[in-house]
Amino acid sequence: MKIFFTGSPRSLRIKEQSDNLNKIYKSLSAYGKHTSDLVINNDPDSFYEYSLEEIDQHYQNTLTNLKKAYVIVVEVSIHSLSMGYLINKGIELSKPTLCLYSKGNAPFFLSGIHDPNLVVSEYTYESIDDVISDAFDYFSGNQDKRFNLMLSPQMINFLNDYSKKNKMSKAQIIRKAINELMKVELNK
Amino acid sequence: MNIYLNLSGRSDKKQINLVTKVQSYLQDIGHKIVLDYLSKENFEDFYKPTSFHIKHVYDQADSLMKKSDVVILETSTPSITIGFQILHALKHEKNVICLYTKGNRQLFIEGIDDERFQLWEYSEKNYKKVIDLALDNLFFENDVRYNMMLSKKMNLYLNKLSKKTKTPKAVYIRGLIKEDMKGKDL
Repeated sequence: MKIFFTGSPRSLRIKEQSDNLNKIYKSLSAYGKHTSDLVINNDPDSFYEYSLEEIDQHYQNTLTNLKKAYVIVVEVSIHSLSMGYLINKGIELSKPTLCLYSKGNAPFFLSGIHDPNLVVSEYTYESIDDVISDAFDYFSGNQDKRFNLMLSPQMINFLNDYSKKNKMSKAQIIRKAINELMKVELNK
Repeated sequence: MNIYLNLSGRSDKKQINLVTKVQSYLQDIGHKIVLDYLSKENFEDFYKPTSFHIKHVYDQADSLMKKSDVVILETSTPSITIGFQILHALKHEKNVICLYTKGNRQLFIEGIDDERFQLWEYSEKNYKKVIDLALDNLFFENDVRYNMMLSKKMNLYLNKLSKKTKTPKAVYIRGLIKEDMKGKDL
């Protein structure tokens, strides 16, 4: 299993945060291969002096490494625009996304997102292995299932038109319809 | 236009004051601000769970963003929320204008390559001009994408100019064409 683990480069300037990142990285290694080690092997000083070309390259590399991975893990104790952006990218691509924060650093906005692929967990240096293990157990039991079904030509035509008009995939339209039905049924 | 204007709840007073000025200017030139956290009496209380219900904040932000025509985000203060909202807005095909003050550029988002995304440095002195330029540079469905080849020399010049003037390359090229169009009736 490929894992993309990331965190703000500014974390590496703080000894406690840096230790946490290294331990998380090591703990994750037991579950598969990292697509990038930049999270622990970065120089935060030179990083923030990147040229325009280097910034473009870094952005592209980061997204490529994220897309390659099966699971996304983000350390969110340090406020960071890029971490918010990458979490959203992980959710957009329906990848299991684990956000980890140390005590007192709960990410306010993320706690309001209810997405089955997003887990936001508090950890301590001592509990890192257990927290990751719990999250991965949850992800392994929460994977989407492929479902094939037959549709009439009329339904297919409707889906094609609606999909084009609303810029949604056909699967998204069907999932949306099921979600709406679920809301009605669960509120009965 | 309906404008979703947001900034980190941890922004300092100087940033809040500047965004307040941006908000007033946008209203003065006829736009409607759909998200108005700034006018709340206790901006500092934003993160206290008693002040806002967390889920409500997310849902409200999501709903208002979808209703807006343009999303303007202040990015001087590192914020997971604002980073999340940049991509959220782009996914909903909104024009996104990110503003930052001197010394507070956010490296990662400079790599975003999307015609709907603009990143501008601004200040107390030039915020009106920056807002005018950014709004003049919005990308809409009727606009036509135009790809062109540039020599290495031209590209290097554009890169340097863009960095020096803090203006996107496309804005500069569009400005040249607009200038050339003045008074000409082809």
